[in-house]
Amino acid sequence: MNYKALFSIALTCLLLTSCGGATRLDANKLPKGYTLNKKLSIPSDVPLAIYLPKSVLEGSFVQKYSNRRVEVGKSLISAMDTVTNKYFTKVSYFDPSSDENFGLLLDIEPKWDYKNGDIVLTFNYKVLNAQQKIIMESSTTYEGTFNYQYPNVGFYNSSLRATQQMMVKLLNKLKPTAAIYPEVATMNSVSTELLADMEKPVSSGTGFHINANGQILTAAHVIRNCLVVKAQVGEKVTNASLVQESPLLDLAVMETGKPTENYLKFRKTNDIVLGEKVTTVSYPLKGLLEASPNLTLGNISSKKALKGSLGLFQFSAPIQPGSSGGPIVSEHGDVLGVVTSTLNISSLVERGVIPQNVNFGLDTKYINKFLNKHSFEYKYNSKKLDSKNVSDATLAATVQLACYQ
Amino acid sequence: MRLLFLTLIFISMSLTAVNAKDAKTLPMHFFTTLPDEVPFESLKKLPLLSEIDKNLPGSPVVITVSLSQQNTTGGEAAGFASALLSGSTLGLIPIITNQDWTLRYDILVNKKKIASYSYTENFTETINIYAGIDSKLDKKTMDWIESTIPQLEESLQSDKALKELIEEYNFYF
Repeated sequence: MNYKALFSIALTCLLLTSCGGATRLDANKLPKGYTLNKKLSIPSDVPLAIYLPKSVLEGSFVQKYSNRRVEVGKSLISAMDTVTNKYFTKVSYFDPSSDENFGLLLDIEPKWDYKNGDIVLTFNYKVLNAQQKIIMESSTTYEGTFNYQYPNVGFYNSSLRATQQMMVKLLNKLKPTAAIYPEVATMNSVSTELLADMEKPVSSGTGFHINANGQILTAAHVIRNCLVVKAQVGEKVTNASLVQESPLLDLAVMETGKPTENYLKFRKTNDIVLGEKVTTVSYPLKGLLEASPNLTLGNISSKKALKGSLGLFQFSAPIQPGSSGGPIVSEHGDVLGVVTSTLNISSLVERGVIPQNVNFGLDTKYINKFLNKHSFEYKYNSKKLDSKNVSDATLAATVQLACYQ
Repeated sequence: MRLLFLTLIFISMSLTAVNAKDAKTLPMHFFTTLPDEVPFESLKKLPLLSEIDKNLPGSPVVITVSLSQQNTTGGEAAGFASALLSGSTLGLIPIITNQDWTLRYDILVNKKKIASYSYTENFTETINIYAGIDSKLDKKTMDWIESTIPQLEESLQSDKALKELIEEYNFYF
C-alpha cells in the first residue's frame, strides 16, 4: 500500500470522525445497554402528561461563530415527541390550567452541561399517578457529540437518547397499562408544588403591598415562567398567584389572600421631581445574602431612561439582582415607581466605561393607569412622613418573591 | 328616525376612522443575527413595522430575525456519502448537503415572546472541505428571505397578541 492511499484512508477516517453529531440518530434503535421487557404491551394506553419547566422549553441561543440560532428547547421537544409517541398512545404536555386527563404524570428536570466538547444531558425525573403519589423517581444521563456546524442535531440526539433511557426504565419498572393504572385525573387538579423543584427557587425578586387586601405589585419579569410563587412577608411564607400583568409595562399584581395593614400609598400629583431623594427596599441576591431587606438611598437622576424606553425614569439608589419589583419611595413616603431594570454594563465595560448606579423605574403615572384599568384598589398618600417612618413603612410593606419551576 | 339612524352610523364610522388614524405605530428595536441586515428596509415598509429602529436599546418591544439549519433525512445520507467521496479524493470533490433553513421572526415584549413566525425552505449546498465556514448568505438565500416578508405581513395583521399589544401601547402612551 502506498503512502497516498494510506493518507487518503486517514483523511477519510478523520472526516468520518468529524461527521459525528451531524446526523440525527435512529429513533428505532435503543442506546447501548437498554432493552425493553418483551412482555410489555406497547404502546401503553395510559394517558401520559409530561411536565418540563417553561424556561427549558423556550431555550435557544445564537451561535456566535455562525450567527445561527440554536433551538435547544425545540430540539428537546422534537426528540421527546418522537420517543414518547412511540410508547404511549396519548401524550400531552402539562398545563396547570387544563382540564385534560392523565393517568401518569412525568415530571422532568433537564440539566444541560458541556464536557470536552460534548453535550451532557441529565434528566432528574419522577412519575406521579392520578392520585398525585410519586411512584417512581430516578435520573439518567446521556453524553452526545456536539457538532459546531449542526448544533441542533447534537441537542436533538442527546435529548433522544436520554429520553429513550428514561422511557425504558419507566416502562420496564411500571409496566403501564390502563388495567394497572385505571384512574385518571385532570391536570388542573394537580398541586403544582409537587412538580416544581421547591428546594431552590430559580429566581427571586421583590414586591410590595398596594392595598389592605394583601395584593402585591411587582415587575412582571420577576414571576415569568414560574410554576409556583412564594411571597415572604416577615417570617411568614405564603403562596402568591398572578391576577393581572402587563408585559409592556413590566408590571404584575399578585394575590396572596392575606389582608394586611402594611401597604404603600402613591403620590397623588403623578409627577416626579428631578433630583428628589428616593428610598428603595428590596431583597437582592437570594441565597447569597441573608433573607433580610436591603434599604438604599439615592435621587431621581433623570426623568428619562434609555433611548426607546417607555415610561421609565432613572434613579441612583443602588440595586442588585433580585431588587426588581421593589418600591421607589419619596422622602415623604409616596410611591414614585417600581424598580424594573438596571443598565447592562457588560458591553460598556468592554469599551472601558464603567457607569455607576444607572437604574430604571417605571413612573407611577403608568402604574396608576394600570391599576385603574384593572380596577385594583390603591390609595394616595396625604401625609408627609418623616424619614424614620418612611423607612419603617416601606420595609413593612415590601415582600420577597421566590419563583419555582 | 331613519335620518337619525343614518347620522348615528356616520358619526360612529367617523369616530372609528379617527381612532384608527390616530393610533400610533408601535416602536420596536430591530435585532438580527443575519450577517447582512437584509430584511430591515423591506420590513420597515410594512405599516405595522414602520417604526422599527436599529438603535432603540431601551425599547421594551424587540423584533428579532434569526436563521437556523436542520439536516433533512435525505440530505444526511447524501451528505455522508459525499463526505466519504470528498475525503477519498483529498477534497477535490466537494461535500453536498441538503438542509432545511428556517427563518424566524420573533416579537418580544420585555423579553417575553408574544409572537413568532417561521418560514422554512430547502437548500442544497456544496461545501469545500478546505474552505472555512462562511456565514455570508448567497443571493438565493437572500431572495428567499425577502420572499417571506409578504407572508409575514399577513401573519402580523391577523395576530391577536400583537393587536392587543398595539392597543395597550396606545392606551398607555
